Amino acid sequence: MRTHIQRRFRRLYGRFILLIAMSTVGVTFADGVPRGRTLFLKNCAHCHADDATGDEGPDLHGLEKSDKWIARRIRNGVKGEMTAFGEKFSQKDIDALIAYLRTLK
Amino acid sequence: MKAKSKIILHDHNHDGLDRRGFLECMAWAGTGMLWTVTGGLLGSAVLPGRAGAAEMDMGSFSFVQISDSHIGFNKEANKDVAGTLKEAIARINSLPQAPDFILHTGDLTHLAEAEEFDTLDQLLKGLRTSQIFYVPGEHDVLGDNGKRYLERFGKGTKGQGWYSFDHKGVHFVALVNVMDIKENGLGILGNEQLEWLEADLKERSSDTPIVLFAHIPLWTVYPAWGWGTSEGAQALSYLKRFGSVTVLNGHIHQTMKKVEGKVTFHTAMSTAFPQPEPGKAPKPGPMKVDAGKLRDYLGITEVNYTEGKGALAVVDTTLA
Repeated sequence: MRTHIQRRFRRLYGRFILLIAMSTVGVTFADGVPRGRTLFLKNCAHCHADDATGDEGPDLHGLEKSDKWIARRIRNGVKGEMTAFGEKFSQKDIDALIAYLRTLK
Repeated sequence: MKAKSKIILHDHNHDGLDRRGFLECMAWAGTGMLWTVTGGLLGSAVLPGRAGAAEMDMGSFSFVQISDSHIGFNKEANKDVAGTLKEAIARINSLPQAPDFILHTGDLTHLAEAEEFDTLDQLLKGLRTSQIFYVPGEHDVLGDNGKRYLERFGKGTKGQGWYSFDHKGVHFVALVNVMDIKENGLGILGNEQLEWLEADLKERSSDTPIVLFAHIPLWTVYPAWGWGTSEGAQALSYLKRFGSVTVLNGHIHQTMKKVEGKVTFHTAMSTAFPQPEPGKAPKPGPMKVDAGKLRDYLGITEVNYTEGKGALAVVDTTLA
C-alpha cells in the first residue's frame, strides 16, 4: 500500500516538475525571440539578409540542426566563411538567436 | 605599368567639352579626369600629370583612398582578393606623383581574423607610401566589437577608434560608424563621437578645408540596404560653416557622388568585389561579374588638393 502511494506521488511529482520545466522553457523561448531577432538584424542580416533567406551566407529557414550545433557554429564561425561570435555573444545571446532561428519555418 | 584604361566620368561642368573631348584630353595628358568643387559648384578638369607636378609642391598634395579590401573573402565574386589588392597597390605606386598618404576606408578584412589582418598588413607594406590612415568597416569589428582591429590600428585614437589630424592646412577627421550598427543596417556614430566631432571642429577656422572619412556613407544612399548613417545629418550640421568639405566613404563597393552646398560626398570602389547598384538586385551582397570584367568594377580613388583653390579634386580609376 505504502509502495503504491509512493509510486503515485512520484508520478504526480514528476508531472509537476515537467510542467514547471515546460513553462520555464516557454517563457525563455518567448522572451528570446525578440531579442534574438534584434541580435540577428544587427549582426547576421548583413550576410544572411534581413529576412534570413540568405545573401552571401545561406538561407536560415527550416534549419535541421541541433541547438548545440547552431550554438557551436555561432560561437566558432567557419574559417574563411563566417565570423566567429564567441567573443561577442553570451550564452544568453546565443540562446536568443537560436530561439529566433527556430521561428523561421 | 598598364595605362589607366578606364576612368569614371562625371562631367557636370557644362564647359563645352564633350565626353570624347575629355577622353582625348586625358589620353594627351596621360592622366585622368577629375571633378572639382569650388564654392559649391561642380566642375571638371584634367589632372596634372608630370607637367603639373611643380604645381603640387607649394601647399599642395595628393592622397589615395582605397576601400573594402575584404582580405579573406574567397567566394565566386573574386577568389583572389589579395591579388586584386596587389594590383591596386601597383597602381598607386605607379602614380606620377607619389601620394603623401593612403586612407583605407574600412572592411580591411572579411572576417576580422588575425591572419587576415596580418595578410593585409604585409600586402600594404608593398606601398611606396608608408603612412596609412584607417577606419574600420563592419567586417573588421563584427565578431569581437573591434578588439583585434583596435589593437592593431587604434593606437592613439579616441573612443572606438575615431581621430583627426592635419596635413598641409587640411583637417582630416576619421569617424567610426560601424560599431553596433542599427537593426536596419544603417551606420551609427553615437553621442560620444558626435560630441567629440563638434568639439574637434569648433577649433578650426571656417576656411580650413575639411575631409571627413568613414566606412558607411554619411549621407543616405539607399536606406533599404542600410547604406547610410543614422546621425549623418547631425554630424554634417557641424560642418555648415566650412567652405570646403569632402566626405569620403566606402561600404557600397561602387563610386557615387553628390554635392550638397559646399559638401562633396564620394564613395569609393572596392579592391575586392563589386556590389549591385542600389535597388537593382534583390539583395546587396557580392556581385559576380564575368571574370574579364571584374577589374572594371574595382579601383582606387586619388584626391588632389591645391592650396588656395579651395577645392579637392577626386579621381576614380579602375584596375582595368
